[in-house]
Amino acid sequence: MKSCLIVDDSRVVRSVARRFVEALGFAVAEAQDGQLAAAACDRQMPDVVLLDWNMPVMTGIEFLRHLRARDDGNKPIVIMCTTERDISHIHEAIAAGANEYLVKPFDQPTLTAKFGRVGLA
Amino acid sequence: MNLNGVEEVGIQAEAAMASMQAHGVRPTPSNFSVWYAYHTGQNSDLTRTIDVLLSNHCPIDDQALDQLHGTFFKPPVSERALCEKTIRARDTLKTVLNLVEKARSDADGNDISAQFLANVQSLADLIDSLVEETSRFVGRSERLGLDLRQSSDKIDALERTLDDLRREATTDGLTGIANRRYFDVTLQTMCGDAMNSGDDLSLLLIDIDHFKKVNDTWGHATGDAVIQFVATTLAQSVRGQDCVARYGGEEFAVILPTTSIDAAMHVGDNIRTALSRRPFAAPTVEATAHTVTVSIGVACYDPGESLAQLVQRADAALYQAKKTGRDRVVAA
Repeated sequence: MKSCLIVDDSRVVRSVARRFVEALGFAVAEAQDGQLAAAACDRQMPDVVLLDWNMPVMTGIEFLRHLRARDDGNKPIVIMCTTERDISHIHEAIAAGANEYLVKPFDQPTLTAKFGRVGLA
Repeated sequence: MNLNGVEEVGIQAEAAMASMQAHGVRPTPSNFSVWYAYHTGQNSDLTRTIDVLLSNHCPIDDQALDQLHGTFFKPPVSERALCEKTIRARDTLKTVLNLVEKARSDADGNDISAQFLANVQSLADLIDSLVEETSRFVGRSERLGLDLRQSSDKIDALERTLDDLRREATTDGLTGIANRRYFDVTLQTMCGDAMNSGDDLSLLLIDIDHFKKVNDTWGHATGDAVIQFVATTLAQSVRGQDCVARYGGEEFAVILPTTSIDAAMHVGDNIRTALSRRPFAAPTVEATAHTVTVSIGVACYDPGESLAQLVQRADAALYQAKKTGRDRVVAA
């Protein structure tokens, strides 16, 4: 079973995303900020990370840079999931190594399509 | 590919032009350079950025295109910076030259070959002429700077016009409230925030009762006056953070962030009351006695549903309000 780490400080987003991602057959783990996500990756590197941008302690983009700098950090597919939808944010995420970008609010067909674009659904 | 280079570029350019048209992108030179690069995929970051915008249904408007151009087509190093660099190089070389001169006089020219000194001197001459040339450039740039300052007023005026145009593009001409386009963008932003915060967000869809009859009986001028009357009443019945928009025809939409369905029903009732109490000043005498009522459908955003579904549920509630007698508020 493939694994997905959902990183978001919003309880609502985590629960909605969990529902949709589990429906795709993933085992889901959750983290509330970038630092907790990094700790989760230390324990077990997920196949895919669904990553919020604005979070306390360590933001999503900081976590992404931290992840891609690790020896084993190129393995997970990272899908940014954020309300930020301007070009500078999108460009920054792609440059930092994000594979896909999902704009909030999202629904099930949109999330599933994003997973499909990176070969996960 | 059997095509030669020029033909290939021509075909790519035509295809890029057609694709611009298909995506509603204005055919300006800078937009074309962005779209040509996107179409040919020659800049993978640019291609992926535009793919993100398209796949998330984000608008690719003039503002977005300007930003794309600024991000991926960086302007060349300015003439001025180039000149300063040359001058710095000359100063460094002069220092070196002085040191060499000093060394020669100290050593009486014994250790340094005449050939080397000639080479250094010719290099120095070259740099001097380069500096002279670039200084002329600097003068020209400064004169150009003066012209730019003089035209900065024109640019300011142009920017103000652009601001006006941008506002116009988001405002409904008849009523002065937000238009459908602004509503769509705002609903996305506000629902994104609601999904993050977990706060309730409610949507009202409002339709003027018997509007067709108003138009048929008193004409379009009165119809327009009724629409303006309702728009003004709506704008006065909500908080600053709420968004009142003309959804189309005689239909309006109100987005109420941080508002539960019960509180939204209350807002709907307040709107009905306000309409019944406000005098309607009709352009024709016969229409003055006409009371304006509305039917209202209310739905609360359920995180994870599509925005189309949210609007559909509010619309179904509005239909129920119409079906059960009009002049009422119904929750989805």
